[in-house]
Amino acid sequence: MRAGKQSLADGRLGEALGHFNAALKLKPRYDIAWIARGQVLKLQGEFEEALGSFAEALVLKPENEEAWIALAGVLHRMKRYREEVEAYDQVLRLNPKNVEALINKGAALHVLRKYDDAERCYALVLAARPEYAPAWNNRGAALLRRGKVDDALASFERATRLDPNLFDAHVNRVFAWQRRGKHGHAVIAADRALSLKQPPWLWTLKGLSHLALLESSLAARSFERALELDPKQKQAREGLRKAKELRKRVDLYRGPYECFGTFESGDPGCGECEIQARCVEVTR
Amino acid sequence: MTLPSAAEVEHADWPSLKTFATGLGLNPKGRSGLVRQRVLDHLRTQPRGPEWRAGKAEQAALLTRIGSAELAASLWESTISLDAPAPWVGLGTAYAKAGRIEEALKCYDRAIGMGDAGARLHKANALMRAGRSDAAAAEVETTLAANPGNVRAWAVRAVIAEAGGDPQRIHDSHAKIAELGGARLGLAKMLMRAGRYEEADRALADHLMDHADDAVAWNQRGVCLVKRGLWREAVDALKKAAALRPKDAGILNNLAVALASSDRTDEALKRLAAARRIAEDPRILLNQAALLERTGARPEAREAISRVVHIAPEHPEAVEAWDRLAPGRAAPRMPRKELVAPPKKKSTRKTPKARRTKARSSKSPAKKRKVSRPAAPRTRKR
Repeated sequence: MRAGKQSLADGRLGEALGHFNAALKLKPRYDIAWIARGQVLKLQGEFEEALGSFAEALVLKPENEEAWIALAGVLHRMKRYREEVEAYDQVLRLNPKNVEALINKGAALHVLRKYDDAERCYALVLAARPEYAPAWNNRGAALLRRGKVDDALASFERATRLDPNLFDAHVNRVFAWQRRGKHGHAVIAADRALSLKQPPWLWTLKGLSHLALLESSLAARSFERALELDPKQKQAREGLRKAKELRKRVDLYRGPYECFGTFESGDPGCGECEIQARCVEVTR
Repeated sequence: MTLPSAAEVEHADWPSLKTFATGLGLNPKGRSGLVRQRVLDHLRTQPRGPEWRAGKAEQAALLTRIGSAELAASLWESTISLDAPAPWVGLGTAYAKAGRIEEALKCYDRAIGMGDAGARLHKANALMRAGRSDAAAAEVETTLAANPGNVRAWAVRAVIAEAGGDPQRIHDSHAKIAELGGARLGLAKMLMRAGRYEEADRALADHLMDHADDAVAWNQRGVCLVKRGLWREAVDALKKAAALRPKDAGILNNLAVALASSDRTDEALKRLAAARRIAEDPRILLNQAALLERTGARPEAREAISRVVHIAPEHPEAVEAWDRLAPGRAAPRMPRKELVAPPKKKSTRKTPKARRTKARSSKSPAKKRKVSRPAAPRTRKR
């Protein structure tokens, strides 16, 4: 078992599997060895076999929370979300305060479009751990799906305050601001997310917001960057075409004003702004 | 620029916020919330500056103070430069601490040559240690001629005068320190020593105007007032001192004397009992015995005197009081020291047995799955 653990830690999956199989030959009713074997198989992408391993562990020790969570994880990878929820229910029957099970169950319910149930799970998590940023993000996502954009934004805000590097929360803020038609804020959120990771679809999202702000050059640059990262992005290609067309008519320039399109009357920064008139024009 | 704290940035007004952003090389333009966020992000991502570490000079100063004089001297030597007198002063002090006075004097001379006025006072101290008080006094006078307002020089002058036993010079020095706005306590002490209690009281009153919580000064003032026969005022002053330092046996004793002199014997006895609980000083015990004798409690007075005789058998006042209170009785003596060490007790503790620990069963190597799974409603596939 020790050799298997070491091999697994070093990333030598084949070797680790061999060690765990050897352990199980010596002691077939060793539940921890079955779980370890399942983890290796899951990492190797052998989900069916991993599922079998975890099931063996649970036959030997049905009250093993770790085995149930591992089983649910494989079911998630296999997109068997209903069964995943059932597995988490088993964990929660054993330990109703298991935060990991609660948040993962919420995520599975979200995929199943049961947003109310998901929100209840997150509420339980947040009652136990109010400082847990991913739970705030997931709660916001559920609220956004239910059309409660303001509450969702407040949740994302909380998540990013607690963990300023939570990429998902920044991306969700982009969606929420775009849903409200506040493209200036959407661009700011997209920039913050892009400072952490640069997936091509996020450049496309940013480009769409620039288009809405009549910033054709910046929009074109964003779409070009998206296509550079993934040339198959249809939405980016279409966006680039629109941006080029728009440039013939209008192309606003924001200069050093990162907050372009977020005018707030009475704010001292907005009071001093040199492009205030244009900012007011595009801020909805 | 020193980084502002996150709290400072959170609560900064617009002009301060712009100053922070500009100072950090960030864009100060835009909506205030965004500029604030920009500065906060910078603070979060910016690595902290290098931590302060003691340099050779700081290490040498520390070593000089804690007593490793030779080691400090070698460190000071490594910090010496052509234009800085401070390392020479440091080296001189290290040599003086190591007892190498001649070398210390040479170092101070180098520092004086570089224009360091303070080095003369160090030199004066070193000369005093070498027993050359005249030369020390001359150095101090030279310093004072150049800067008559140098309080430290006046203080060194007072110390030298005290060592030479020149009361006028001591008085002049302390009077000058007081005039320059320095401490008046030294002047008061000197005046008390000279028996000039009224002037001492005035000096102490001035001192206490600025230092109302100085228990020593209140005590001194109480003593001054006792000497002047102003019992009630003395009691007030000493009560203030006792309130500031309730565990000071000397203050309690003085207070008891003042109380006894104003015919408040019971209170005085209580204070003396409290003082005795803190320290069994012969002075306190003698006062207690005298007061008890005055109230007619002879056995208790005898007990207090027996303690004095026990502690200080040669004390003349104690011997006289013992003869008066217990005529014909032998004074109690200290037990003679045992020359042979008493046999050691056999240890009743058993030899500790080695504990055996149970081997733990190892846990699964499987790592927990990361729980922050994105549940965001995105346009992309999972």
